Amino acid sequence: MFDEQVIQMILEGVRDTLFMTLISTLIGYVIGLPFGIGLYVTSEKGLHPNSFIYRIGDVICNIIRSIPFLILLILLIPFTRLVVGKSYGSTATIVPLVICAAPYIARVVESSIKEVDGGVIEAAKSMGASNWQIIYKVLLVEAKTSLIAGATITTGVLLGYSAMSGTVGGGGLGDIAVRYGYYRWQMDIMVVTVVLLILIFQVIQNSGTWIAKKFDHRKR
Amino acid sequence: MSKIEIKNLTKKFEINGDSIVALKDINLTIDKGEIFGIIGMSGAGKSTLVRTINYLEKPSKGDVYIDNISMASLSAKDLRKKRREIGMIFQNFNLLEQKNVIDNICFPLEIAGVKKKEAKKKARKLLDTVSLSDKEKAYPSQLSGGQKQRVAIARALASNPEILLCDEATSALDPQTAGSILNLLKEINKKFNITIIIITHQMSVVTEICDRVAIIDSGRLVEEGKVSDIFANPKSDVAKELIIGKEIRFSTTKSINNRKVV
Repeated sequence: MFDEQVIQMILEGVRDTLFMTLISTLIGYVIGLPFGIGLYVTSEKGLHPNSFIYRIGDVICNIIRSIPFLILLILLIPFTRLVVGKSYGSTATIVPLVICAAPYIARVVESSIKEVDGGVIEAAKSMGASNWQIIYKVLLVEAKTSLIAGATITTGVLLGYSAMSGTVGGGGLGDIAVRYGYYRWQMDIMVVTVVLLILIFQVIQNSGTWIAKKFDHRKR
Repeated sequence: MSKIEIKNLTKKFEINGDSIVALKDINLTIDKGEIFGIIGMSGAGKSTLVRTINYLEKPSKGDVYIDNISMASLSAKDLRKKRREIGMIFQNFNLLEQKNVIDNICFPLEIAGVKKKEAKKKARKLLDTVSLSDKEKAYPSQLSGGQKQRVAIARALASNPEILLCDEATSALDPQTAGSILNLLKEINKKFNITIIIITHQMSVVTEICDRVAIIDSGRLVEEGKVSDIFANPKSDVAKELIIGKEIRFSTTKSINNRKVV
C-alpha cells in the first residue's frame, strides 16, 4: 500500500512523537514536581504556609495555563529559537511543551499531595519528622498512586499537544497528519497516523494504570 | 518516665477574624509513670489540650514543662528531638497506608536516622509486644481496627518514649477490642514505665485503666483527682453527666454557644 519511503517517514514520526512526549514529560516533571510541592507546602493548610509565595506561584501557574497551547507555541517561537537554535522540528517543540506542561504538572502534583490524610502528617510531626522528611517520606510515598495516575494523564495530554505542534512544523505523527492529511488530502496516511496515535495513547494509559495499581497498597 | 506540668495554659484560635478560646487557664500536673485520663464532651478542648503537650498546638499563653524543661524554650530542632520522647496514637490510627506493618513501625526510627537493620530488629520485638508477629508484611488495609491500633502503639513505642499520648485511641473500636487495647496500654505502662495520657469521652475508659482524671468542659478544667474519688463524689455537672451518662444540665448547647463553635 505504501512505498518504503512513506513507511520510513511514518516510523520516524512514531519515534519523534515518542521522543517529544516522553522527554517533555520528563523535563516537565523536573520543573513541575518541585513547583507543585512548593504550592502545597506554602498553601494555607500546607506545612509552611506563606501566602505571598503561594500567590506568586499560583498566578504564574494560572497565566501559563490560560494560554491555549497552539498560541503558546507561536508566542514562544523567539524563545525556542534562542534555546534550541531553530523553531521547527521535534527538538524545538519540546521547549513549548515543557513550558506548557510544567504548571499543569504542578497543579496535578499539588492536588495529589492534598489528598494525603492530614492525620498521617500529624502523626509524622508527632514523631519529630522535619518538613523535608514529611515531604519525601510521607507525602510523596502516600500520594504515590495518585502521582502515577497524574503522570499518566499528563503524558497523554502531552502526546496530544505534540501532535498539535504539527500545524507549525513540529515534527512527529501530528506533523505528518497535517502535511499529508490537510495539505495533500492523502486520507490513507492520515488514517494511519491517527491509528498510531490511538495505539500509543492506549499503551501510555494502560501501562500507567497498571503501574499505579501495582504500587497501591490501600483497599484491594 | 516523665513528669508533665501544664501551667496557665490558654489556647485561642483565630477563625475568620473571630477569636475562639479553646482552652482557658489550664493547670495540671501529671506524675511519672501514671495513667492519666482527660475526659470531656466532644468539643470540650481535650484534643487541643493533648496536642499542646507535644506542641503540635502552640499555646497562646502559658507553657508545658516536661521534666522541668519548658517546651516553649526549645528550638525547632530540639522540639523535634523532644517529640521523639513523646509517642502518640490516634482515633483513626494514622498509619502509612502505602507501607507495610514492619515499615510503619520502623518509620519513627527511620526519621531519627537509626540504621535499617537495627530498626527492623527493634520493630520485630515491638510486634511481639503487641502480639502481631504474624502480620509483619501485611498492609494496614488488610488489618482490623484493633490490629491497626496495635501497630500504631508499636510504632509509638519504637523510639523508646517516656510519654504516650492517646487521643481517643479506643473510640473507633468495638467494646471488646477497645478493652483489649486498654489492657495492652496497661501492660505497656507497667513494662516500660511509660507515663500515659488518655483523652476520651467514655467514662468506661477512665474507670478501666486511669489512676487520676481531669474533667474538661468548654475549655476549662472543672475537676481533677483520683478516679475513685471523682467516681464516688462527682462535684461538677459534667462529671455527674459523664458518670451517670445522662444529661443533667438543662442545655448542653449553651456551653457550646458560649464558645462560638463554628
